[in-house]
Amino acid sequence: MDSNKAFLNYINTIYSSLTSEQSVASNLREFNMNSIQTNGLPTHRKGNEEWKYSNLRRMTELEYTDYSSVDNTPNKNISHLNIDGFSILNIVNGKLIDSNIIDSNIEVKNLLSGNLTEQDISKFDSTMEGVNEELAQLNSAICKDPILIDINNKDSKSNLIINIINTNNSDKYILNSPKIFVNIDDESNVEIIENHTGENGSLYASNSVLEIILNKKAKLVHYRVLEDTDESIHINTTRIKLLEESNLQSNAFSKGTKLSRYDIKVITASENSYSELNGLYFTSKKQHLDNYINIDHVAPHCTSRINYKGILNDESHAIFGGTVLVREGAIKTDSLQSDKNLVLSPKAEIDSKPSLYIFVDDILAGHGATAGNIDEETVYYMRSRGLSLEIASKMLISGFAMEIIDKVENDVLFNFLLENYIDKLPSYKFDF
Amino acid sequence: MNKNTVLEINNLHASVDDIKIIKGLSLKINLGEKHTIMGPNGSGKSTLANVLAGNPSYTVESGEIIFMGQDLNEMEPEIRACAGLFLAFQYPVELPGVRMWQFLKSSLDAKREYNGEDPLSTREFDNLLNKYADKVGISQEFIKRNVNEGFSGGEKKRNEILQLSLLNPSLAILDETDSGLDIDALKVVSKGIDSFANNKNSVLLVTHYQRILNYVKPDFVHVMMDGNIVTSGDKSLALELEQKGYDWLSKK
Repeated sequence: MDSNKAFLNYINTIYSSLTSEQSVASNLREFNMNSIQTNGLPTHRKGNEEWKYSNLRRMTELEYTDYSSVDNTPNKNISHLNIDGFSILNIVNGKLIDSNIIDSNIEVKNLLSGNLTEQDISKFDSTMEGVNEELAQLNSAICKDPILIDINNKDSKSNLIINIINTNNSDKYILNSPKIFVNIDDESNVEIIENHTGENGSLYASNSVLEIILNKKAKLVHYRVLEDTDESIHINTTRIKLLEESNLQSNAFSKGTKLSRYDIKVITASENSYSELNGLYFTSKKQHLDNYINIDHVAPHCTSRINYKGILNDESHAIFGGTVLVREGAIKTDSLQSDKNLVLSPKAEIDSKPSLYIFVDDILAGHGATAGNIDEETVYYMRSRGLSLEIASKMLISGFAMEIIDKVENDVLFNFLLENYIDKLPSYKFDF
Repeated sequence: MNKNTVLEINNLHASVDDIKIIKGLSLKINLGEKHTIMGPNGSGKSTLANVLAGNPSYTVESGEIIFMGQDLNEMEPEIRACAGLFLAFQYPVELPGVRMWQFLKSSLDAKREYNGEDPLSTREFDNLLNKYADKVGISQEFIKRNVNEGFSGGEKKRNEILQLSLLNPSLAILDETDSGLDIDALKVVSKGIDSFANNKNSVLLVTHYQRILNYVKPDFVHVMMDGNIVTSGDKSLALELEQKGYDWLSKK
């Protein structure tokens, strides 16, 4: 049996176990299961630009096990974020297992609590277009516990940590499908930290979906921290819809895994929104990390910025596919994207492809990508001040990364990133 | 070698990309002396400064360079710096993401460690840094910024003088530190060099123009042409050059 078929059989097993009893999510699952069966999963074949550099076989060829044999209780030592003043949701293997909501402006409903209505369910996937979204469909077909979050504050700020935790004590992989929809009401001010993590030694594939609607004049600072294990598969589809005058800053910090794909799309649905997507990614060993960063400019007078940086080591492979689409009617769009990489090993590979599709006049747009090393003169300058090659290299590599970490205004998270990202940068000597 | 000799260069030949630039140059600098090397563009002045600092783009073909009794050719650039040699760059380099404070503290720590001293505490270092930063007119705001990033030409040169003061070398080589400065910046930079110089260190000032010598008074003036020193004298030689240019020397 080929690996793809075995994987689809595994999906079927999960699907059947979920649909054995009727629930409000049945139609959502069934509709998407049909799509998967008709369209299959994205393939690597020629002409499929979205998947040109990433092969899902890294996920489908693994051996998977049934959930019945898996202990879903995570070890107490698992690293999840906990910050004073933040409400917390802990999602383990796709199910909301505990939460601590300290803010009455945050309302959380989930399927397994039995408080999701048909109307609530209809919100899921509402930001999707159904094209090139097979993995989001896979998530919908076998999601166990869709979670709906509604945040409505006007004069205060709401802070929320979503820990997406994976744990598995068996020697085969499991596939988790966390599914989250967040509605941020008019004029609300929100900070969300989305932390993906896994228990050490656990084998898992996490295929998560996060949808966010930013309503009129709402403001969101979103952090995505990827702390998944080395052996894990991380797939995430994020859709953020921006309504009138909303303001988004989304910062993604990713470490590579066996296969990691981050597919984010920001849709400027109404006028005068501002969005800024910053990202920092580190890859090492034989890791594969694919950033698929999209901005869909639909409405006029919107500004968007994409600023990503990568540090690649060993035999790792990273991809930056940034796509800015400026649709007919999106006049006075102002868009810039940039991706810069530091490639520390001759065997590491970066494919950086910023693209811009413009269907209207009267806009400002630019893009650029660089991949390269630090130059000799820079290192010489530092050495001439007494710094060894090791120290100079370390300062330059962390300096490269700090440009993105400096965007973090949350002190606790800033220190967490220094400790878990900057302090763990590879030791390397620039040599000429 | 006299124990007062800081630098002794004998019959130095050096090249860059296989092009011979320095052709048999000799020079001796004693403690407490201020030397100036002047010369037209392309005479090899900056090459000499970079060869001394250990720029890996330059190759020493032959000759010896003795710095404080040690063979400089055998030393990596960072070891030269720790041993007390300092080069103020003609074009100071921008270090993206590297904070001034971290850079300056690490540099001083490296030098102190080389000399068997403990690193300064944050407080001790801050006191020292503030003292020198004030002198060259570098504000607290600059200390928080990345090294030379977005600095104007004058600010970069002042930053070089700040590093000179902090690292307090035995030999300060200043490679056209005066070029591109307006008169006010030139005064600040000159004052910095002047207050650094004393009888326990030496200065080698590489310059194209006589202008800076109105503020930093050299004991010796050397003229470099086509890779060698063609004549040496005192400050009056610089004034003569100012009037006559360099042509009369090449015809000599």
